[in-house]
Amino acid sequence: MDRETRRQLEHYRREEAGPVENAVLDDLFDAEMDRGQFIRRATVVGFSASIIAAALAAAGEAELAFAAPEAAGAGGRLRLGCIPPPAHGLDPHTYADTGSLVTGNIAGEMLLRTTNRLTVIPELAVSWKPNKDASIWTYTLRRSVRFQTGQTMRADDVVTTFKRLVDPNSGSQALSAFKGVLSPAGVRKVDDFTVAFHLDAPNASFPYLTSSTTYQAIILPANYALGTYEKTPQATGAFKLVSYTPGVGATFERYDGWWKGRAPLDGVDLKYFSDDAAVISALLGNQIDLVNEIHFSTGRALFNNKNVKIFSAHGATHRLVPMKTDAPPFNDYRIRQAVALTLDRPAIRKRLFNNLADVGNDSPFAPVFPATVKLPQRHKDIRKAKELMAAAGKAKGFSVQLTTYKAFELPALAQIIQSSVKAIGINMTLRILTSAAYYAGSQLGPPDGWGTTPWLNTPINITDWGGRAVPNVYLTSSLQSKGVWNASHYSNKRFDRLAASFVAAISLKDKRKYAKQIEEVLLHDTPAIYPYFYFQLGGGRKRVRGYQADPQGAVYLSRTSLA
Amino acid sequence: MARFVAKRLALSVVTLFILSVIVFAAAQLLPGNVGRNVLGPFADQASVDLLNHQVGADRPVLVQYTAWIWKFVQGDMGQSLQYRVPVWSLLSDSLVNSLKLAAEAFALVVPLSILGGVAAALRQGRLADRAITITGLSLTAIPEFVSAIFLIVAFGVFVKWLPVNAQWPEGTGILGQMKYLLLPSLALVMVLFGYIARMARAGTIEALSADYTRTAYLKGLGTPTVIRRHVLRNALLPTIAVIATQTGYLIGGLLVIEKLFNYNGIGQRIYIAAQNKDVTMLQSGVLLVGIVYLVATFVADLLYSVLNPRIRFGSTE
Amino acid sequence: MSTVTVAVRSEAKIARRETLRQLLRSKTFIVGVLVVGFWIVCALVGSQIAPHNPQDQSFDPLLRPGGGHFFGTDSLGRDVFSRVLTGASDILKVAPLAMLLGIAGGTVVGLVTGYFRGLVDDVISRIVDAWLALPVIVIAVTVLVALGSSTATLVVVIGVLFTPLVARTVRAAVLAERELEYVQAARLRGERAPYVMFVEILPNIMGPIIVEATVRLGYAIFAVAGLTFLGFGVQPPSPDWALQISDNYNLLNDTANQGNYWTVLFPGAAVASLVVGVNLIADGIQHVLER
Repeated sequence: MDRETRRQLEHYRREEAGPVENAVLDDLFDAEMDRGQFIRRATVVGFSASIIAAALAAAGEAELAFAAPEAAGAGGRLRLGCIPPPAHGLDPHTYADTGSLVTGNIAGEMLLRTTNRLTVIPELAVSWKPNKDASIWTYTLRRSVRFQTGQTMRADDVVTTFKRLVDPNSGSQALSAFKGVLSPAGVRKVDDFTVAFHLDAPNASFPYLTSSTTYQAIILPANYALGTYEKTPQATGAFKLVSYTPGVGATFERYDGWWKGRAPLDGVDLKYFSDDAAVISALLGNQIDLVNEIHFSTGRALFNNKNVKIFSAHGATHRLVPMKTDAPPFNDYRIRQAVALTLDRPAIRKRLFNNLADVGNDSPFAPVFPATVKLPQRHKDIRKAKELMAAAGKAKGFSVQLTTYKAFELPALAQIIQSSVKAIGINMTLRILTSAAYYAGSQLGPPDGWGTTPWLNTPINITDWGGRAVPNVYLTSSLQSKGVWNASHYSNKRFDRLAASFVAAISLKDKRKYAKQIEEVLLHDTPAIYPYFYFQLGGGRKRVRGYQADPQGAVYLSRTSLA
Repeated sequence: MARFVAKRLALSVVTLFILSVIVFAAAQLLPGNVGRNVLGPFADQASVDLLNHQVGADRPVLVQYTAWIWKFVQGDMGQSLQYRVPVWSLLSDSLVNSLKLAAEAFALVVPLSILGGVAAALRQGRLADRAITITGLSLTAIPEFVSAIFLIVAFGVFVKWLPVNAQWPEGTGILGQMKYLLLPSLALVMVLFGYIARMARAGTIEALSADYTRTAYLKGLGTPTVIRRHVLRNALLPTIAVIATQTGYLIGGLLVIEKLFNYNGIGQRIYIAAQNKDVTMLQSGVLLVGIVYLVATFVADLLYSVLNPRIRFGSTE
Repeated sequence: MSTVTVAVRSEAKIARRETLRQLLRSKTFIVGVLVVGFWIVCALVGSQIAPHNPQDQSFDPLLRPGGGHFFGTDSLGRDVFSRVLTGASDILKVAPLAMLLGIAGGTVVGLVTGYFRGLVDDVISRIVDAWLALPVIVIAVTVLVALGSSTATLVVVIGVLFTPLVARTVRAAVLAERELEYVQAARLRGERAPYVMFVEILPNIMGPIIVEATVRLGYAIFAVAGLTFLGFGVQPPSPDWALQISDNYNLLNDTANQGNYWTVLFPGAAVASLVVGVNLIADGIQHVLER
């Protein structure tokens, strides 16, 4: 390491870095995290590439090398298949399904972008910085950004967009992520190109929430009129949404005023599908070039086809099997543990995912998260499960109904669980709904209760959870007592405290400390089973170049080209 | 004739009115509150109430019905609740698509099955008859989703002769569109062939043994002429009725086929509207399908009476 | 009871016996009965005669037919042959119940409209007409979305949708009967309308009703299978045929493993054979009754 680099780093630590940044550097030098994890954390708290490189050199790690994009051919239109179609209009803050996430994000951009290695890179913001306890984050905006309407992006646009996202009356679907983190009053303009977020509570991972992982956070002009996203191109991205037919498809043209230059593709023709087999057949039959999301269980044919390549992103997407802890039969932790002990997870992973998944250990701490502490894996153990059932006074078993919906491998998982719990005398019936019916009904959230919707009010169910860059939302919305999506109706004060501490913790050391305790509490209480974290997979024809799967399921095409 | 047409027309209007009441009542069955469904579970009650007021969901049911049907008659089907665009802008494309698919399916199946039915009747009891009858019977017994799946796999995936998705790319000409529609049409041919062929066969057999046929033979006309002039015409009568009744199924009843072939037909539209509780789309879509069905049966009735003079002056019973 | 009625009754009995004899001589009918009978037996005792437990997931997934698995195994490693053998039980419960409901409802409506004629007939006939204009499967799906799908709802929805179709047939039969002497006689005796309809007319129109019932049964099987395929009918892990097809058809485009055709072909053939069987019975009965 040369002297200049050392000087630069020391200057940074002394003059620029606050406690948050220094904690991240300390974690690196104390060997708390490896290179990859450091880069991830460093990008989140807003380190520049030169500081990251300097720090790595100081810690004796190899120099940072940024991957060069694949050589891109220019021109052509990409035919994209998207399953399922958006169920509602395309106002970004209302996105709640994969269809709208995919459609909206081809044209729209966020302040930051989370990469598929969970690092955070600048997008519409060029830099971001926390105060000393990470309760205020200040973002500097890129000056060269023009909306597709022609107007320049300024702080007012960002403030309006975020106020809408955190406004409880706007119908925002990002509320669950921002709950307890950010309120409308906390979004403040500093000057024309600077925005400050004054958080409700310290949060060291806040930048993720302003990145592409919050797929509703597309920056729109301050004068955006609701219901016009699909009618007038007005986002900032590489492509303009020029036509949209609900349930059928959408057309995108390249936006030549894009701040980053010109995307290789001339445009994108998006076609919606509502049937797994139809979209797979279309890819095999060369009617489309790319599919946003595929699964091994429903798209087996793609995995051994020479014309197709599979794009994979290692993420934290998972299926959650919550058991309602406030009513029989699952109000006894021993019963819940017993159910969890009946599953042969490696076999499930092989059968449903061809091993393209991580085995879960009944907490949302996926192996992909740096904070995750590896506890002994829970294995299939029928003897122990039977003992637990007996201890809970249910040696003879009981009958219960599992609810889920028809999509991807969910019915198959339901049938595997149903057949597994038979070994401990549980007679499980299945109710497989349509996704619309599964998520239908009211779900007001505490303190008003969880309403009537099946996915929050059935004894045991299976719900799909999208990938996140940090486990915060999983902890706060699905497990904390006041969580809006607490399908387990789980209430444990110690857990609530630990989760809050985890979210606020700045250094990885502290995060790990709380993560370990959380994992232990969850493994004991087992409010929900986390059978696996599967990789987000996309499929495309061999001619598709420069495409990477996104762990949140979005489709980014600004660097994609066709051979 | 004019009186007959007028009476038929009046009856159709009455039927249509009753249909609209049934449809409206059925749509009211869908659980949940319109505003809540649109704005989502976390929206404020005040904004839900406001939206309900804006779309008129807070008015008495009778007022809502009258307003809906009055606008419908004027061609205004309202806004889709889920997509917030005029319902007609979506339904019109889907309806046209459904009509195209139905047309291609009929164009294939009607000549084929009439030919089959007549041929079977002329060789009644012999091998050809058996073969046609049994083939028809077996094809009719295969659920449409099974035949569609095997057609897709055989022709689209294994030998790759035909596109597996029926929705053609924009700007495809009429012949190209027909190619895209061939696989789903074939699936429908398999469903309908046995049914129509059977009717044609029965009609032909009846006509062959009728007095006028014997008279024609006695007059010295050759077999082909007799068949063309007398038998076919009578054999077609029951077939027309069958085709008319199948129109309802072909327009609006094909959601399985439309799903498997990823085709934007009206069945799929209504199905998705029902799932997402898009009441305006659902009501208008179903009513539209009903109208198409009634028009088809009305036309069939007219054709029937033209081809069969006996009915023209009689009662409609 | 008058002597006329007695005479009519015994005549009817003879006619019925003659019909039965002709049916037993009809090849179509016999083959149909054999096929349907086979599936009924399988539905009743299938789990005892099947080589494996249809729910056993312990085999290798997607084995080709042959060896220990005549029809191969599905993606969850279950024996397809055992699942096909036991797969009739749910559909043979739901479809006949739906058919019976439709027949019962349709018979009542048909009798009332055909017997009274006039305003009642006009009104109900128009409603029936309107009803017929509705796309059956779409309405079924809508109602199942609204009410939630369960076996009971499924039976009721299909039964109610069939009612007007049955009513139309029954009404036509009643129209022909009501002018006959025995009906006039009953009226002259001062019998009340329900008695005339259900005691006098109904036994004499059983022929068309039975034909209608068998035809409707075929359609009911179709409707249940179609709704199950869409996810609104029989629920997993039932080995129901349509459910098997619905679970496995997306494996078919895997050209590498022969498209895993056995997971769909055999259950598909099973549904078809059941429908063919029912149709043959319908044909046989129709043929004999119309002679």
